[in-house]
Amino acid sequence: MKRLSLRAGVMLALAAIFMLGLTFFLVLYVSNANSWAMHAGNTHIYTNGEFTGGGDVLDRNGKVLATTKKNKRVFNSDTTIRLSTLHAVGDANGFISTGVQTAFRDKLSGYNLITGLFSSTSGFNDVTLTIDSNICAAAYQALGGYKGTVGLCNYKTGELLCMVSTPSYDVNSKSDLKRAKDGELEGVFMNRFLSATYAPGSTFKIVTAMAAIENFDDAYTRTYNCKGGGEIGGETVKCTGYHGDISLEQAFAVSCNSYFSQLAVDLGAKTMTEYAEKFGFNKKYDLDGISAKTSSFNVDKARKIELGWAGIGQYNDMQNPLQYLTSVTGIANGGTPIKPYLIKSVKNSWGFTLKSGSAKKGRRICSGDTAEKVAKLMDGAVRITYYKSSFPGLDVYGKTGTAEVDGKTPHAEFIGYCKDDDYPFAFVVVVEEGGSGNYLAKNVANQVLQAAKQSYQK
Amino acid sequence: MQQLELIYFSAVRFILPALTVLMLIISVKTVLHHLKRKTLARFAIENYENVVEIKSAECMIGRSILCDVRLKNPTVQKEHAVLTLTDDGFKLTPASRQAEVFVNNYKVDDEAYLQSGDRIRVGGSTLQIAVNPAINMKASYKADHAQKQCRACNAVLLTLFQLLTVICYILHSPKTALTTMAVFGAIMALEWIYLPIRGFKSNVGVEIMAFFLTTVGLCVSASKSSELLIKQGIFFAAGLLAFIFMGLLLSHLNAVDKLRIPVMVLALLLFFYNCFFGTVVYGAKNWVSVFGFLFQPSEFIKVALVFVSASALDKMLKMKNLITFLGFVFICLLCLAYIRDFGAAAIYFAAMMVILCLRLCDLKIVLGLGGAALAGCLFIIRFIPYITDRFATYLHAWDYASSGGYQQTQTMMSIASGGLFGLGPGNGNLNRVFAADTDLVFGVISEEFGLLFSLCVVLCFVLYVVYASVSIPRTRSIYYAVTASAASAIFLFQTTLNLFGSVDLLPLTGVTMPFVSNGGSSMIAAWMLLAFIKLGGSQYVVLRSKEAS
Ligand SMILES: [Zn+2]
Repeated sequence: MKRLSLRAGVMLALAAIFMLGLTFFLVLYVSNANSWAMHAGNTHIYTNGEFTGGGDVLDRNGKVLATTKKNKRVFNSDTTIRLSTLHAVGDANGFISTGVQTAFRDKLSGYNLITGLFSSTSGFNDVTLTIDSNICAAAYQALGGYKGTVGLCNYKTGELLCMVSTPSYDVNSKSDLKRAKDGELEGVFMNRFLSATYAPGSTFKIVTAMAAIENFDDAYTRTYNCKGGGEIGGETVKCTGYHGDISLEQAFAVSCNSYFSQLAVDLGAKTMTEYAEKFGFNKKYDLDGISAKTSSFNVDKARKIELGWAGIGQYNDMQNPLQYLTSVTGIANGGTPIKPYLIKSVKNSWGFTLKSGSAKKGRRICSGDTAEKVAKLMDGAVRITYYKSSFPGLDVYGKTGTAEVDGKTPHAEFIGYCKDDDYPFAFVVVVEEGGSGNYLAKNVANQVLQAAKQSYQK
Repeated sequence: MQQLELIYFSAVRFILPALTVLMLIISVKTVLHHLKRKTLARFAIENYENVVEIKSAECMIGRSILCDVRLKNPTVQKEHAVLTLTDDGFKLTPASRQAEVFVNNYKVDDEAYLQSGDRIRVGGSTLQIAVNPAINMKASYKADHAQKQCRACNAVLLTLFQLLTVICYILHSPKTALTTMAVFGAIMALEWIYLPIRGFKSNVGVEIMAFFLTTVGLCVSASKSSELLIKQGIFFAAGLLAFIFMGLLLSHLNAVDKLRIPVMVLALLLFFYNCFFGTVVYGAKNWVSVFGFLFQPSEFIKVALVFVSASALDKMLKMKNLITFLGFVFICLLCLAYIRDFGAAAIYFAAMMVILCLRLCDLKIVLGLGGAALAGCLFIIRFIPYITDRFATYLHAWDYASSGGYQQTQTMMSIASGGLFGLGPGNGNLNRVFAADTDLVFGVISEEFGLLFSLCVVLCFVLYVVYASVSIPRTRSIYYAVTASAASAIFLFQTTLNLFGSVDLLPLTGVTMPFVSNGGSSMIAAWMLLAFIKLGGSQYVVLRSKEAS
């Protein structure tokens, strides 16, 4: 029996191997359970591949944007609201991966590692968004069939009030979905506000101006000559006007390409890169964890003339609307941005708040002094070129951009904010192939701002 | 869901795992409680030069370091003689033909019974035996009294668990409330008839754990349909009867030894019948229909395999004994390959390896056999097309979530959906998936009762293995040691294949989880195997009173 007792160790070894396997499974479970539970085959929250296992998605005023009725996902009854909030809310099939219904389906269904999907028997969670469906609808209508995006947030609280991306499709219409799937609506499943990047055009002059203010003692007095263009190393950067000898404040207001391209060359590639990155280029941004496409600025291999182009937002510069909006809140807040957020609150079926969004400060983009100076430049630009009267009842500071795209009508862009404690709105507007920023983008911005103002007056 | 129902479910999902964890902790306490072994006899070696105490009912005398009575004399064989405590007293058997043994100067040819004071000559050594007069030959099934409260407490916890669960099912489907109450009521009644009769003094922890596992199995059935629940309830009663019968049979070692060959022959006949007249169900021809009842012979032959796997130490040392056993297993494996039941073949083979290891075969042979089999399996998996197909989705289940990996991915989704505490009994969706009540039971119970609970369930099988392992040194005969270990190892292997197969860490082979998976053959066979574990832990020599040391 002595030998047998020794061999009994084999049995304990078997038990140990089993325990090891079990541990391996548990590690796998802890790291993957969320994606297992959220798989489209999970019948607790999906019906025929359609996400139905979530509570309501509401806008900031409590308007229901999406809900589940009788195992079917039902969206808001107003067509314009459906179209304008599509990319924020998302669809039931998960085509729009950055939509709340897909990106936050675990929050909507109330899933967590400890209690699993017990909410599937007791009632799902409701998610309230920071967006205002009326502002979104206004923005959708303002874009008037153009492709593009509008983002608008409260730069004091960080609440994202409006996030619209076009083209859009109606989730209630089968033919719309078919057109979307057939690729007739270019990039319809993409939320341009998060996942697109555009050449910044003249809006980038803000960055170049910032670099000059902080690096040149004579920033306000130095002048460059504009003869309908500026000469750099034998080549020319074309300007929209014939500005003669011009200084910073004027050049910013009239958006003189000659001035800023020569300024960028004098600042040098290293300084320009430093300030672009301070402003948010080449840095990762996210909206409540949904990551955005990264803005890029790279002049490492640029020739002199290319650096000049880069200084006025051309060459290979790319901006992402979320990053731009965040940086605008930085200028409005004296150098420190506020990160926009989308999830206002998550409540369970008993009305208990599980999570509520709040303002979080971002990385400083410039000193308070510089921010004030840049703000003044933006104020001047509106005063002289875009006119304050274009925005009735609002004191808008901003900068337009016209991003040249090879062989196409340029994209129109407008970024800025309202200097008003009652209406602290920061905004970014991109109208694809919208022509000059001074025209279409400005009008879109105004219409959205008016809608936002109206909403805040209520 | 109704408000009242919701509140009940919200509370119960935490209470049920808590009860289970408590039961498991108490079980661990009773299992690990080690009995102190008593001295049964003393050997005075070479005129009291050295005194050896005999504490096992079967021991080996020889020169090897692994012998219980070690004689450092070159004239003694490595394994020279076997001493066995039988119903008629101590029996001495020469271990081999070359080993010469004399008792009181008479040469022992076959066997000799010893009395206190007998002088034994083994090779060139002499020993004198002194038998402890307090040995009670007839005593068995007598555990220590210290753990009595623990067992009674576990039985009460189990009943509480059953009551809370029944209420869940009644709330969930009031239409079938009567059936549910009837079946669960009958089960509880059976338990409370059986346990007091057997007595909490004896080691009924083994049965209580099986009652718990069976209850979990009944829950799996109840979640699916009430007809299934009734069926499983009947199978449970049959299993309990089979368990009692096996227990009685196994306590008579002589009868077991006489039945060894007949059982082998019967088992093989059944297998041959299966091979030629079997019914094909889902690709494997592992069903046999008798008088309209479908059953799986391989489940019962598994019991036979354990039954014939060993003998008392003196008989087991004979070469013939080992060869008949190996021959039997080999034919069984061929039959299983023929009917394409590869899950069962894996179980049989694993059981054989454990048995060989504990039968004190040369470890080199055991390892060699294992290696060869592994190579053979890999060859089969790689080169036989219809088996290769089966493995196509293995480890890639998520890539085939709607086809070949459907069952596994659904299981994983359900486990994740259940979280740690589950969605409540009856609230699962996995039971709608094909074969969920047999192959995917781990997922079904995780989804409804939570991962914490289902972990406790599989830990019960680990506990059986540990229990068998700690009973080895104190058991009356190597037969009980080997069979208890083999039975518990089979439980653990089945659980391993079932659990890890359902979550795609092993290929899905359709092996059942003992007691928990639905099915009559599997349930009854599990209870029969349990008898081996029970006997392994209770067949030991009891001394008449405390005065004997
Ligand atoms: Zn100019």
